[in-house]
Amino acid sequence: MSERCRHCSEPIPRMRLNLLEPSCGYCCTGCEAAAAFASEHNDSFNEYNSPEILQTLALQNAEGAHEADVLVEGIRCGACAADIEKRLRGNAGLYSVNVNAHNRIVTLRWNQAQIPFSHILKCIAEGGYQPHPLPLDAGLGDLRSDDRRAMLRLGLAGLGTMQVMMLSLGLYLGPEYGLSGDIRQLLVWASMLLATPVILYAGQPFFSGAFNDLRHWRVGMDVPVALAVAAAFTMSVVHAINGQGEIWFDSACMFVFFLSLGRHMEASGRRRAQQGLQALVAVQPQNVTVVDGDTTRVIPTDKLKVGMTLLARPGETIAADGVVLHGTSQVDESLLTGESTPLNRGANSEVLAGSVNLDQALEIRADKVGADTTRAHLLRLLRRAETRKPATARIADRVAGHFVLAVLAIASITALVWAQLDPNRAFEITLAVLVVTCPCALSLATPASMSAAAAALARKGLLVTRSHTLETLANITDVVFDKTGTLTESTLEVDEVIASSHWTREHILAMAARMERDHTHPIAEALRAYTPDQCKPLKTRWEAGRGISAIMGGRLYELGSPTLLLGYTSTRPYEGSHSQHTWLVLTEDENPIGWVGLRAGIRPEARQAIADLKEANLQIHLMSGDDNEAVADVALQLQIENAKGRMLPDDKLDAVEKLRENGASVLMVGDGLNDAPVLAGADVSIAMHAGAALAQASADAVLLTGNLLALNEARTLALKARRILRQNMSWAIAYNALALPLAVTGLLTPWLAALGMSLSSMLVVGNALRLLRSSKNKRATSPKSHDGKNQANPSFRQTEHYPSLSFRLSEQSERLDESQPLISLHSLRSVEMTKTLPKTGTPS
Amino acid sequence: MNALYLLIPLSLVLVSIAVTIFIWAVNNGQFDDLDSPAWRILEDDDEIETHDPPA
Repeated sequence: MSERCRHCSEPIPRMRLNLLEPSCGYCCTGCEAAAAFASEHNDSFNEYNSPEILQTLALQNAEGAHEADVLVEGIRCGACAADIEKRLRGNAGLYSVNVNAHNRIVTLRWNQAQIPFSHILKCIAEGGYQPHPLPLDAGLGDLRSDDRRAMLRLGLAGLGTMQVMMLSLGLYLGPEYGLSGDIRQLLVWASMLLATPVILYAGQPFFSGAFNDLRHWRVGMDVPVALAVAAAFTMSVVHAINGQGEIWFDSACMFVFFLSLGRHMEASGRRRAQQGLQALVAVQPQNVTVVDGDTTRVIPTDKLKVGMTLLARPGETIAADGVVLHGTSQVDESLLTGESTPLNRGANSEVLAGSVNLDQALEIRADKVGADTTRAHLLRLLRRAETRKPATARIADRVAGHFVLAVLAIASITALVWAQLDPNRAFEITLAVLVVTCPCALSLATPASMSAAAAALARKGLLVTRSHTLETLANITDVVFDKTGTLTESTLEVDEVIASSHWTREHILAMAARMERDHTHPIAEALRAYTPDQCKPLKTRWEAGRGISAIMGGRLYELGSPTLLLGYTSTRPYEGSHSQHTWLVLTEDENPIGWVGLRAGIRPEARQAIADLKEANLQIHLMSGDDNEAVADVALQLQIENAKGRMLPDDKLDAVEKLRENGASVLMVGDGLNDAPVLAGADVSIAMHAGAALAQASADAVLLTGNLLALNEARTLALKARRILRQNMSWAIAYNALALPLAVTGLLTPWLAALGMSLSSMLVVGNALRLLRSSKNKRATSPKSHDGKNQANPSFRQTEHYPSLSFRLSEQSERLDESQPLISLHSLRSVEMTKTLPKTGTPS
Repeated sequence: MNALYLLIPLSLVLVSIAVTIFIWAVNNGQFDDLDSPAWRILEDDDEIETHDPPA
């Protein structure tokens, strides 16, 4: 077999592109570049080999093998999981690799002497994933064994229940076919044998739940469930031993199984969205490099003190809030703010703990460490908001508590009265009352409708992670949007162009577009539309830390950030220019000749989504941490009246609280960690999928597709779900109201009560399933067609933003004349922004 | 009817075998991840590699 590429493992073709050295071991330039990039960023893994750090991350078994959990960012589906397994397989010393695509956790078992931990992490990183080893105290082991126990309980309950039901069919029909007493007793004993583990093991959560409730002098849903199951089981055991009387093993098992199934479905949806996310936030740099005069030393992060100077190498997570002393670099704050474009940071600029240094080493003076960092503060805010959350849930509990108390009261009165009237039938009738009133249909009504609606929503790209979401979503009166990452997206678009004396703006744009032509980063994508149609591609050169350069007509042109090309301290062309923009400068022989300002684009469907929500009579608010100018701009374009900028997380939370005090029910849509507290504090909240991990963990639902049109659809569906829920509730209550007198008067036997209860439950579930069907029919008119239209016609999006561009140009020119004589606008004629704009060939 | 004396204990034995297999499967992690195994079929398996035995 031929040699394989060291990066992608594909065979290296014999007719290789002649750009590469024959012995380099890569199949193409792409792989070589990717591998080089990856290896640049991989040195930071070496620290994980030190015994002290390994001790906190991995367990060592008696044979000397280490075992550790690694959270891997970038696992999207099972295919990624398979890819990672394939990458790691065959490494000597690596005993087992278990990739869980569900929670993105890779469990490794390896021999540290044969293969260092850093090497394994490197292998994962080379595939384009970001591995984060999880500390042992992250509590993942507990989660996993909890999961397994829940699965065991459910499976056991299912297997046991099926067997018991089969046997009880024999017991019910037996008398018709002349079943002998011995055989009947055999069936009874067999049922008991099968039912015991189901009740005692699978039903254990209900018993412990009921016990907890009673210990705290509360009455929850678990109490009557536990009581009915326990009573049915004990009396059946007594009757089995006596050899006569009714047997209710089947009812008890069925009850346990169906209830466990409902709980399991609800819990697994929630876990799926949350698991690992919180752990990711908990990932801290284990140690930190501090600069001490001319030397550096490595200390554990918790020993870091205010005033120390720390060194953040490229690829490292910054350990403290602080101010940059030396160096310029780009940092990624996406975990904290959801802002996906890297931010420039130079001397004297502030950096936050938890952000990742991307480009070059930074020396940072630590100003806030440990619990004082912005991240720790946000986490505390979030916890506070979360404890406040379950207000609605508590009300539901209290109502259920009253209901349950009433059930118990009726049951005991029945028992007392019948004990006087007919002691022989007292238990049977009491049990019938408990079974009939047992809020089975009632307690099924909610989860059944809700899980059907949640499934319907998941098809539209909205993953519901908390059970109250739909109820609350149906009631909302106000919608609060965050700006960055929510209404705007991570792609950039050209907003302003400033030209110097002898170049027009069109020429500047065209030149910039030609220079960026062969690149794929967001800036190049934004400029792509302006590439001239007919002209030769330029030969460009990209240099890290400088930008793109090209030689044309004997002159050197360079395109890059002003700090790098011109040595500016600010990233803006002049004081007062748009600070939210990413500015590029174009230089000719090192003299600036033009500027291109890029801004985050508004999501194409945002306007329609806002209009839909307004049509539904909802109040729309925009709350953002950005400056007022940028916020007003977006608010104007989307026609949002209530817009406010410069809001801190606390301000947002206060504003939302205020809305709620005035009787509003608030839906919050956001994406950043700075939104996390307010996401948790709103009545109901939706996080964008591309946003910060913690924001998703604290939201009630995650918008997976990022399509904002799903918001109104979700609301419509929630309203429909509420209607169906009400039908279900009224049916369940009507059924109970009808059956209760019958049961109390002894006309209803327990098996008839159980049958009626099952039928009633089936009716409820069937009704709930209509939600799924309606969503299928509706799919033809789903937002996708709308989205598709936008994409099919690219000029649609462009023309939308041009008015604001020409508006800015004229506005800018006035300011420019006074403030910055260096650059002046060539002409002010209004720009015709059609696709033919940059058709001019070589400018000069 | 007497066949039931044999068949019912037999069914109990079968159930206990099923339960044992189920418990083994859960503890072995077979139910931990229900998504990714479906994708393995799409993976190339033309390269044969050997596993080291666990230490």
